[in-house]
Amino acid sequence: MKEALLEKLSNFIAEGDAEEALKVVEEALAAGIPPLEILDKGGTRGMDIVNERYDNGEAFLPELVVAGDAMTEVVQKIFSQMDEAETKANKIGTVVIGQAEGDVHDIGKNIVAALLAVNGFEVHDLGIDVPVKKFVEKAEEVGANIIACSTLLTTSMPYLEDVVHLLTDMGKRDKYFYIVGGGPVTTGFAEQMKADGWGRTAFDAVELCKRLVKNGTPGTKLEIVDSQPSN
Amino acid sequence: MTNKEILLSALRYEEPPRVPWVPYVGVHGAYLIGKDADEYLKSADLIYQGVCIAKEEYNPDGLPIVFDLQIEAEALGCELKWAKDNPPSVIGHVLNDVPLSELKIPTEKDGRIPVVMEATERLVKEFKDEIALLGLICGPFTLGLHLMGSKMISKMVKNPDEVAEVFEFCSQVCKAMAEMYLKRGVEVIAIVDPMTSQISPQMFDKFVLNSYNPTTELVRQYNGRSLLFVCGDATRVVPNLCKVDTDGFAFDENIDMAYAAEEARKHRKVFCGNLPLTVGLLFGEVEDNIKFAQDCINIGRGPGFVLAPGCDLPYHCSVENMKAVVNLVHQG
Repeated sequence: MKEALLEKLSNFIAEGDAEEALKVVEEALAAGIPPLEILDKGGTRGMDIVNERYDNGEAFLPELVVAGDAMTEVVQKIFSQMDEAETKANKIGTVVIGQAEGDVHDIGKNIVAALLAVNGFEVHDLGIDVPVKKFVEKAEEVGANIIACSTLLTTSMPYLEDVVHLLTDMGKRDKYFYIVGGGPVTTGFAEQMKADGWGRTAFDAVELCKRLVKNGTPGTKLEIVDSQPSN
Repeated sequence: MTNKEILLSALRYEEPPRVPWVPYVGVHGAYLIGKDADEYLKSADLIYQGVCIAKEEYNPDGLPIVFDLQIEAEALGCELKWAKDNPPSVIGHVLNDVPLSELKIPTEKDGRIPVVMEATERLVKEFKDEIALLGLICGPFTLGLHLMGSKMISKMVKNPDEVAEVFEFCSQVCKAMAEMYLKRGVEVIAIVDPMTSQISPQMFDKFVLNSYNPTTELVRQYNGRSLLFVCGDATRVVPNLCKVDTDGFAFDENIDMAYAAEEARKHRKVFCGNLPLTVGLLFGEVEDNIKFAQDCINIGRGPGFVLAPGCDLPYHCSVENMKAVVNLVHQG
């Protein structure tokens, strides 16, 4: 029964059906399945299914967005059932994320923020058109591990580099992982600015953050996660 | 053949004597005349000057009049954020505040449309038959996103009827904009719908494919030519692009030119592309750009091919790099 419920949950999440997914969560909780197990073996598995479909060209932006929305609701429901200690224990890291100065195109960034949140990261989303200083100030305020900055505009790319310069000037380059992404942001550009990480897709960004907090050292080398290297 | 005839020949799916070349000069026109993008896009006089300089500098076969996908959205009541070195962006989505039933198809008096149409009239008169002018209009999908915001993406799954209704309206806006250009003598209409790269082939057929038809039918009535512009990795919808009722499509470096050329030729569709913008024209060296252009020409050469950048040229695009491509096109 447990396996069947968790499979049902993962399928509803993959289909983006939040209403049915929440009903299954209720059932699973009533059946005594621990909240974290529901999240991991039901919820996260659902997102993995969407990830696989996305990589195979079977799912696109709309499918990704509705699955992410469903998962967000499931995470909120499950976290509401856990005490503070459990929630903290489940946290992988803290990310400050935003769209670079001058850029208001945030669909991609919003998906990354949502996927990070449902994968155990505490996410502080600064929104669009974020001044360089704001990234560092927020990271200091919330005790982040990772600063993530994205842009779709070539004209905002210099601001990505300015975040690294500011961190260096403040003597805090070794305190935060700095990751970058977005349409025109190539691995070459990320390398040149001495970022810590680059991911092609939103799922790659999640994998990147997991790898960095597990094994990385800020300011040492560029970690690249690219699930579609032929593109 | 004049430059314009060379382009129109390719748009009729013929092979002209040399490869046609259409640099998508948008806000780069502001850069060429030393102005900011925001000032440029609000002034018929500056647009006229920018396009004239682009014609002198880049010896094109065709040029867009304006490359700003926010004109229609602004005329419909969306709030814009302006930039000095980019086209504006939509930050306020009108359908968050107003029901669709209250929106009216924009007229020649709304927003900046009078500015664009004044520039169009002056440019049509100036260039006559020297080069073709392209009237660019915001495609229904992208306009829908401007009007609804990103919630449109999830509503395509959750509430497809609502989205279809918005697309129907946007499709009529496209047609109205196209007519404003066509009746002023513009012969090529480009429907620019970059975000269509982000949906599945099934969703493309369901929501987008037929939304272009009112515009393409109108273009034919005026004996004009039509193109669909996409951006990003639209590889999986290339077969769908070949089904669209335009004469062809334009794409960026995220799509493999050889694949697009093969698919386009199967359907006798025009294809335009795909000089890399970021690694090439903006940040690359002259030699890189000559190679990129030569590669595009080698693959595309033949009927229905137009050499063009992947998308709107960045404001600061290197003039030196552009001129290297111009030399290649005209001197071989």
